[in-house]
Amino acid sequence: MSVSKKERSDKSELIISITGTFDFNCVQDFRASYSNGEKYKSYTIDMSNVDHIDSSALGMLLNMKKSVGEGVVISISNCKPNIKKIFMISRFDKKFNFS
Amino acid sequence: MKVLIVDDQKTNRQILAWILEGLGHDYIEAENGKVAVEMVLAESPDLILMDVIMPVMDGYDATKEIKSLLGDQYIPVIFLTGLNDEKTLIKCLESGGDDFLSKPVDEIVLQAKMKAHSRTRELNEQVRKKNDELVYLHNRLQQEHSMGEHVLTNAMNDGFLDSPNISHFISPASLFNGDVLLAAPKPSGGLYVFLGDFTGHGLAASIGAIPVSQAFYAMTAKGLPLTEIAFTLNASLCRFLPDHMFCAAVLLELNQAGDMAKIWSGGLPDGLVINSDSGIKGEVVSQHMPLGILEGDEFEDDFELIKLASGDSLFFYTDGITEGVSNEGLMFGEDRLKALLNKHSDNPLEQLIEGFHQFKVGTEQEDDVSVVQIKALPSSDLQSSEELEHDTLPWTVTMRLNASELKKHTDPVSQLFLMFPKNRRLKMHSDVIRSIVAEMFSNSLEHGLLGLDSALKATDDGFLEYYEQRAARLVSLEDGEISVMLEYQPTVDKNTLKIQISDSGSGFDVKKAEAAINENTDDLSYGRGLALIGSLAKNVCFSNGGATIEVCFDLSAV
Repeated sequence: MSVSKKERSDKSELIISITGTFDFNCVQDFRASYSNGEKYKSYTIDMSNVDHIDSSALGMLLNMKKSVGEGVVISISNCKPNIKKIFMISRFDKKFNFS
Repeated sequence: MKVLIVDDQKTNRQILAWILEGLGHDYIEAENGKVAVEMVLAESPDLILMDVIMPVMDGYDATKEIKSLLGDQYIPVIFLTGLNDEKTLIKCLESGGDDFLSKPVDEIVLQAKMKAHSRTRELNEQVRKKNDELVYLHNRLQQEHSMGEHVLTNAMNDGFLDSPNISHFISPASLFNGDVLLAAPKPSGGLYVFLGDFTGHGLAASIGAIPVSQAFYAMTAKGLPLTEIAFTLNASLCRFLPDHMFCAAVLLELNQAGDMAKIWSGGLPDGLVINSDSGIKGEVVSQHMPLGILEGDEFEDDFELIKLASGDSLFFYTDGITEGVSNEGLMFGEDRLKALLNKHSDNPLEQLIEGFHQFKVGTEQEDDVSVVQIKALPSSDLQSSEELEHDTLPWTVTMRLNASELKKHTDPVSQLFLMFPKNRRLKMHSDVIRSIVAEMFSNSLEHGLLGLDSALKATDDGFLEYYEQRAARLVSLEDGEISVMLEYQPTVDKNTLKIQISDSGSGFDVKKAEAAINENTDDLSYGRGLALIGSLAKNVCFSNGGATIEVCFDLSAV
């Protein structure tokens, strides 16, 4: 499990990449990745290296949404099918962009 | 340069030796032809200076023998002769000599001739080396070909082509086949068939078979719909193949009853529906561009549905058969093919191939030829006996963790799943089952044993605090136990996996929890676990005052 981030050179977007299982063990790292005072126009969560998620990951993402502001776009990208299924069951497509 | 001096007169050898020494060459000496032959074998000189008349063996015989021993290796022989008549010179040439010098030997002339011959010898050596290299490369190429053939054969995995529903004929024009014929069973009954013809033939064309076959087998094993398979094959070929290459193909799905076929076809000659009594019933016209041309969204995935009656067969073939040319320069053509298939026969495929061979007698095959016949038969139980055995075996897996074990293992659920049975049906669902068990386990630990309150998670800070409390309470946990049980009883219900988790906590308000399963939690950042379990599994029920939760998972879901 690890959380890393990088920003676009024009500071318009923050990309957060998670590796391994996205669960409560990520709570602090994940929160720290987006709450360092900087504000971005959009955020992308890169899920390409995530094998499993649990419901606490859903909670973390919703908290992030509240924290960055409802109007700011958060994209969740490169989900594996089993993970995408969990997001869809939870109707996350209403609040997040999936690509 | 190492020079062999052959002369019976010691003085003559001495004079030549001085000259050669002066020119900076090494030399060896032989006093007659017989010794010379032995020395050539033992010392392999670069050039031979040969006297004509010698005792034991003369220069002519020695030269003949040396040249025949050397084969294609070139060592120039220069005759030294006092006789300048034409007859002698002709004899020298006939015995295999390369040049002559008259005695007494002039140093300048000798030097010039040696230079010329050493150049010839160098060229000769180069050619020989190149030849050896060619032989080596040829052998290596053959080795690589046989390796490529091995990989391709394994990628094709043609085991299922022997199914009673399928008859086929495959004949590549070279070692490598640019045609691909794949077949696989559908997990829910029925089968899939793929026939493709890549641009060109030989190794270059056959390479595309690897991504196609791998994608085909992976998707058919999951029982994915035809259109999705066609879309993915197209996308992977767009990615793998160079622009000028593509794959004309037909992809077919036959239902278990064997009376309905879904067909996606692009670029192959029209397929035929044939009845064993009445002959040709209809055609399956190609509707699309071949695979590997249209990118992503441009790709058209609509398919044709064909109803089949008993005794019907579907025939598909690549253009290698219709474009086959006879000895008289005629093309086999669609009409001849239809005529052969239209005759009443128990084995129309054999009849067609026999007719084709008669037509092609005395000619080379120009292109890969493949024909496949799919019979409208209900497919037998397609699961292998091994899997059936797995599926009827009842089993139970239990994991019981006490307080100290709960502290020690941060993610016991994922470890448990490393041991999860690997048969196909369970494997297909293992991700979802793992998610369910993980949620159930979190609930039992966090609420049942640690008594945490989810409502804390309503805010960003609370979320963090919740997990800080979780860690703190877990560290100070002294008593407590969670047990996880997975149970499969195929005799009771072969499509249900029972999952039960119990904790030693005091339980909770069961009614409230049951309500939470159906609650709309869209906007809440907590309380999602139960809702998730409810959507992934069926029959969620609590007992033991909430300390035990049991769900059933439907293994028949696709």
